[in-house]
This record gives sequence, structure tokens and C-alpha cells, in this order.
Amino acid sequence: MRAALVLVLVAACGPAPLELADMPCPPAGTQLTYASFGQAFFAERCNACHASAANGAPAAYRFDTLDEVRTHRARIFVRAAGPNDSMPPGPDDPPADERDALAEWLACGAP
Amino acid sequence: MPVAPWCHMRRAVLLLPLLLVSHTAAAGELAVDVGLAATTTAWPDDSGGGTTINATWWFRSWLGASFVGKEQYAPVDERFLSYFSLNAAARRSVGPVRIAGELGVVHQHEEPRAALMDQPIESLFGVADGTRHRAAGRAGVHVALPFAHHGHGDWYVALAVDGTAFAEADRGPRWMIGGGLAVGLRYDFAKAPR
Repeated sequence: MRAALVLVLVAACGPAPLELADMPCPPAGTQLTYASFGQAFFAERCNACHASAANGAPAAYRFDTLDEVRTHRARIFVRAAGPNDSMPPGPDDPPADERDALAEWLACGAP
Repeated sequence: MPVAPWCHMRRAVLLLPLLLVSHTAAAGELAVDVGLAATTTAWPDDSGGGTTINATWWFRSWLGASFVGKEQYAPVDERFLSYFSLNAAARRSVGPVRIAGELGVVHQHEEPRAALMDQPIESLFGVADGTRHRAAGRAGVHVALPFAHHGHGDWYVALAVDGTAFAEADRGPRWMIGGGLAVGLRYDFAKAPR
């Protein structure tokens, strides 16, 4: 029953999420850095669940450090950057300009 | 070899359900219905739906245990909701209509479509990284109206409504309210051929 429903809905519901590979870094690069953007974004939007001291997210998906963020760059992009808004959970997503900034920062390698 | 007293207690606890089922099997009833479900949640604009199954074993004419399963889709974050519930059930007949109240516990998997597409096989088995495991309590009412009889029971249409309250609100909405319409079969083992 679940498999049938999943197949129908996956096939029928909307386009696939935008992926990191589909988002080039702007030719001029990005002005965003971990210090100026990434650290505050993850602290405010993600690390209530994705920090080592938090409870909720799987242990393999901790975002305490820049290295951990870079390790999961593609997955973070698919879930939370640009038009993708399945993270954080719920209807109160970060505003579009923040998600666009996250997309640009991740596309440029999360400097 | 001496055995610790708690071992005997554990055996008794493990064997009790088997003894109960075997003792009452000859007089029990099994009712299973399958249908469509709708749901709304504590989150705004988060009404969805899917499929539902209710399987109830009636130990007595009024007392039973039920399993309720639902596979639903909800629009916020494009989530798939896999709902598993075990309940105690009590039943009363009003004319031809059987009305049952259910009280139980719930385990629900919530998973956005993006996570499902990322790990589809793991998702089907509930072990994907993006699966959020949630615990809840459930109260529901199940109304069964027979529309055709057979030698050992009847076919019925079922209308069910329930409410689910989750233990936390970090991984999904705090509550859900649902309804369903289903078609089912009741089989009375007391009337089965011996």
C-alpha cells in the first residue's frame, strides 16, 4: 500500500528539487563567507536540531563546524537552499532571500 | 540450573497474550476494513489524505484490540506520513450499527518528498536518514454499518474519526485530526465450521 502510494505521488507531484549541480557559482564568485553568513544561518535555522548538543537530527548530520557543513553541502542544498524548503520542518521557512543566499554560498563551495 | 525469579515473570508476561488469544480464538471476531483517509494538522494549510486500514480482534462482544495503519500525504514540506497505531477498543451495538471507541498509542514516520527521493529504498522500510520518528497518543471512534451478511459475519461500511496528540512539536505538527471511509469484512469465528 505504501509503495504504491509513494510511487504515484512521487511520479505525480511536482518537479524534482533543484540540486547543487544545477546551481553554478556566479562568475564573480560570492561575497558570502562562513563568518559573514553561514555560521549565523546554521545557528539560527538548523542547529536547534543539528548541533552535537541538540536532540533530534541523526548523529551523522551535525552542522557544528564548517567542515561538517561542507561534508553535507549537496544534501543541505536539496533540502533548504533556493526554492527547496523541506527543511527546517514546518510552515515557518527562512525567507526566500536567506535561502537564495544559502544556495549561492553552497554553490560556491561554502567558503 | 537455578533460574532467577524475574525469568519466570518474563515468561509469564510473554505467554499471557498467547494464552489469551488461544483461549478466546474460538469465540473471537476479526474485522478488517480498508479505505480512504483525510487529515488536517496543527500546521496551517496542512490538510492531506491517503489510505487507511483498521484490523480489530474482538476478544469479547464488547472488548477488542485494534491496529490502525495509515499512509498519507500532507502538503507542508511535501510530507509522507506513515501511521501505525495499537489500540484498546470497546464496542456497543445500536440497532444494526456497531460503534467502537479506541484508545491507543501511535508511532508515525514523517518524511519530506526530497528525503524520500534521496533514499527511496530506506524510506520504504522506515530507516532513511530523513525519516522523523514520532510518538503519540490516539483516541478514535469507529462506526460500522453492515450492508451484506455472509455465513460467518458481514460486510460493512465504516466511518472513522480520530485525534492524535504527539509528544513533541519539533519534528512535526503537535496534533492531527483524521477521518476515513472504508469497506470491511467481519468474520465471527464462533460461527466458523469446525
